[in-house]
Amino acid sequence: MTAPWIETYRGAVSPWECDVTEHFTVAFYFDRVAMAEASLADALGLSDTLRAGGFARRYDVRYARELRAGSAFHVESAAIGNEPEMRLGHRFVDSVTGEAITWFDVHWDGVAAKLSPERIAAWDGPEFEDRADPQDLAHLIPTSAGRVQPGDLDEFGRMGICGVVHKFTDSSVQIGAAVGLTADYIKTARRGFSTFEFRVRVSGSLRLGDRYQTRTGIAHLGNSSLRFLHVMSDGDGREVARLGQYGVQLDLDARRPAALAPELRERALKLVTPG
Amino acid sequence: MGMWLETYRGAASPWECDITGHFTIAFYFDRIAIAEASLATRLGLTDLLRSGGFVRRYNVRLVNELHAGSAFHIESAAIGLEGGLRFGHRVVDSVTGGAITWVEVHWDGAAGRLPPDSVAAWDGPEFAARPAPANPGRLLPTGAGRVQPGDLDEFDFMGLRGMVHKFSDTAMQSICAIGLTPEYNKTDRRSYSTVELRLRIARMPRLGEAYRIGSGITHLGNTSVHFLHVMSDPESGREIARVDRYGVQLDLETRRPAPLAPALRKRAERLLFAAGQP
Repeated sequence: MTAPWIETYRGAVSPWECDVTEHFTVAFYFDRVAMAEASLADALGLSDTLRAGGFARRYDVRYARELRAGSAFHVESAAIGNEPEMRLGHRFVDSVTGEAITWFDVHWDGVAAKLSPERIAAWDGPEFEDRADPQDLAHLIPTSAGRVQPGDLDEFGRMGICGVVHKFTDSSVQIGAAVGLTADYIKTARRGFSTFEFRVRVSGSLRLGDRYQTRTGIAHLGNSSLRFLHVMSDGDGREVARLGQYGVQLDLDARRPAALAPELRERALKLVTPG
Repeated sequence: MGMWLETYRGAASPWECDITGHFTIAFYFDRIAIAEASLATRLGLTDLLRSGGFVRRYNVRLVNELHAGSAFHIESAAIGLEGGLRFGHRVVDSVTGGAITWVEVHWDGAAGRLPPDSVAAWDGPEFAARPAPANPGRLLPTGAGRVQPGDLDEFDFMGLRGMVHKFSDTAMQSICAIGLTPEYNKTDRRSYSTVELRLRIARMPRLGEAYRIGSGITHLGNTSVHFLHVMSDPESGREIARVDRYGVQLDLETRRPAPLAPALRKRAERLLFAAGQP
């Protein structure tokens, strides 16, 4: 690691942080990125900006390799742009092999900062192509609802990015079940859904006890690939966050993408949201 | 003579177990924090515990493992008044009644007062003094992060569970560094099993505070490996807490200690930090 990249987290994956496919659950990547982001903000003199909030944050995430229970990893972070808005890069590194396994490209919309050029790192992660979200959200189906609990909060007293993504993960299980990718089907047909890209946009803020609801649709339906759009709103229906989740149906034995079975495709077609 | 009091009763949940299926050490500390606060209340020491300002030491001997679904309880008592206050907690298998883990706690120099007749006899193991390196500057980086809301205890400090979780992550980083990776666990059926742990807390950090942890090996035997983990403030370098962890490499099939393979031993030797070395 060379400056201006700094180490912002180091630790390991606990067994209870893994999902039914035994992979490190995506929400816990965000648990660690929340720490990395706050530590990087400290280092850049932007703690007060992050604490005050009031701007949209976008997290573009590419998952290249999975982590499992007991995996040792660390996070390296740097500012990768400051004009016209702050852009932060985080790379998850396997501490044993030294290989970057997940990339976070984070934008703080409308927040510029004066940083000397030597504090801006070159971004060696993937580029994220623009993906247009559907405009008509009327056909999204309800996939989660609840209230913000103490365990959802971040160190600033708001619902944290980890808490938000946990709810989206529930939504993902709900939409998967609606398509027919149920827990039983996963066991008997040996199929699962594997996410390789996340696009999260957090535009609002929820506090302890606030109500939320999430609605989901399918923004893209390929042969084996699907892109889900999840939109979280507050109790008054105002959007607070959205997630574009890109992945493929996986053959759990071959560990390769697999085409949707006809009955699942038929169900999925009904959930496709008009562009 | 003082009485032993029941200060916790419950069970081990599946999500509280580690990759070898054992109740994770950090969750023992989750329950010990409850036991400690309950005992402090019974002894009129709650305000002292809440305000802190003294060093706490936890000497832990793990005798038998708990697994998912194990029912257990904790019995606690004041066991000494020398140099501060000393408490004992024994973790008891609720089915067999046998003590399976012993925790001896020192509040060094704590100003609390207890009448001598409140002190119970300690029937747990004695913890001999073990020399440790004084200067943690040469340790391998194994942990970094910030105190998060889920790490806090009932007094709004980083709690025992939160702190020991960080040290558990550090233990994974350390054993991976010598080659005891999850893949090696699977293919060679080897793992690391902790038998004794010494935790010393100089102060409890607050929400949002950053920490760093460094680790080294203080003893390398045939099957035994002792690690030192030191948590410190990244700004000042001042020590927050440290753990001395004593354990063995375990053959997961025979459940017996097993010598380190030559490749792992070579890596471990590079992390060896002689006891007493400055």
